[in-house]
Amino acid sequence: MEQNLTAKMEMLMTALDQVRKYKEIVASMADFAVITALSIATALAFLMLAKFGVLFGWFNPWDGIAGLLALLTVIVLVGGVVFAGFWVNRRVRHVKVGQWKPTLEEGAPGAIKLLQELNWENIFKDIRRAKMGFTIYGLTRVFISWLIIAVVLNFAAGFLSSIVHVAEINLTLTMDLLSVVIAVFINRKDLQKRYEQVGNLDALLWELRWFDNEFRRADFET
Amino acid sequence: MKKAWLLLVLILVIATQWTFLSAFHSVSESQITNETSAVVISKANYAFMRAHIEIFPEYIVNYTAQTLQQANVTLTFQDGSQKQITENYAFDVFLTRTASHFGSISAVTPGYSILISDDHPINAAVMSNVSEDFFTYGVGSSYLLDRIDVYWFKIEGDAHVSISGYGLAI
Repeated sequence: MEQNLTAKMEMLMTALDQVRKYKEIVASMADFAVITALSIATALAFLMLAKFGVLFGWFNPWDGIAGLLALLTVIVLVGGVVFAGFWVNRRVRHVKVGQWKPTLEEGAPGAIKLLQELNWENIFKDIRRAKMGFTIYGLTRVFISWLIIAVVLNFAAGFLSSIVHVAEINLTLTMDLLSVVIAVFINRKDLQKRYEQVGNLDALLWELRWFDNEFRRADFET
Repeated sequence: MKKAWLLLVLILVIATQWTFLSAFHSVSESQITNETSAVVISKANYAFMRAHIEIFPEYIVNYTAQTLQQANVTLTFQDGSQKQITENYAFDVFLTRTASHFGSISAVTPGYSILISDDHPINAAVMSNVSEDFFTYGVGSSYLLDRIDVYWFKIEGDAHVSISGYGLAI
């Protein structure tokens, strides 16, 4: 019985550690969005500088400066999103987990002590937020991927059409649609993973409600 | 909360940049000319435009000297000045903004390929085998000139003309 309680408690605390990480992902979304938006704004500034430079004759489209600005546009855009991803990952890695382990090593008294310290309402709230965070994170990821791919493809198409003089052909719509397909394709595993995680959280929520009921009943019986 | 405001500001900046970028336009044209031809660069008067024009006189065989040489091409500009070229020649034309944008523009000169609209505020065209009337009545006295700015020059001789145009319509 004692072993069963400790094992169940370990499962619960491990799951809650996971929820804490997911909660951190949600909290990091603001940082992710700010860094990404900053990189997009910087990339667009380089693009505008390139267009102004060509228009006002500061340099020609085939000059090294124009090429450098084009390269910087892509580097800043892709680099910004990659950095934002690393930043979120860093914050999630720094979430303190497993601090309950020494207490749980005390056995049943430790497990009961941990149970008593749990704030059930906050836990349920955190899980609901984590679920919402998954959806937002997944959609944002697909959207940002689409945006980057669309910009890169349209840029490449524009460059290509300026070389081979096919400017009359409007490639924008084709490139935008192609970007959607590529964005969904490269994120398909992540989307699937997040879908499964939402399902897992649903299961966890039900299990926690059961734990809560059991714990309250046990409290009442004592 | 500070991050939300920062994000809002950044989104507004991006939206402004995006809108501004959509005001840039480009056009390219490449044609072989023979006899009397015209190069016509035109734009809506609310736009800035820069056109890079490259003229490559056609190569002809000099059977006597057994060599290839480039054709003799004469350029006649709007002010009447002339330039003879016998080798590749390139120059830039910058047309500045001459008026504000009031109402929409949709201008087409029949047969002369000058198509200017709000969607296409800049245009570059090379027209082969044009008559002298074109320079007098076609470009020179177009009823559209109060809405568009036109730069043109005449090419006499066989050449390959390539034009890259960049514009900003604001």
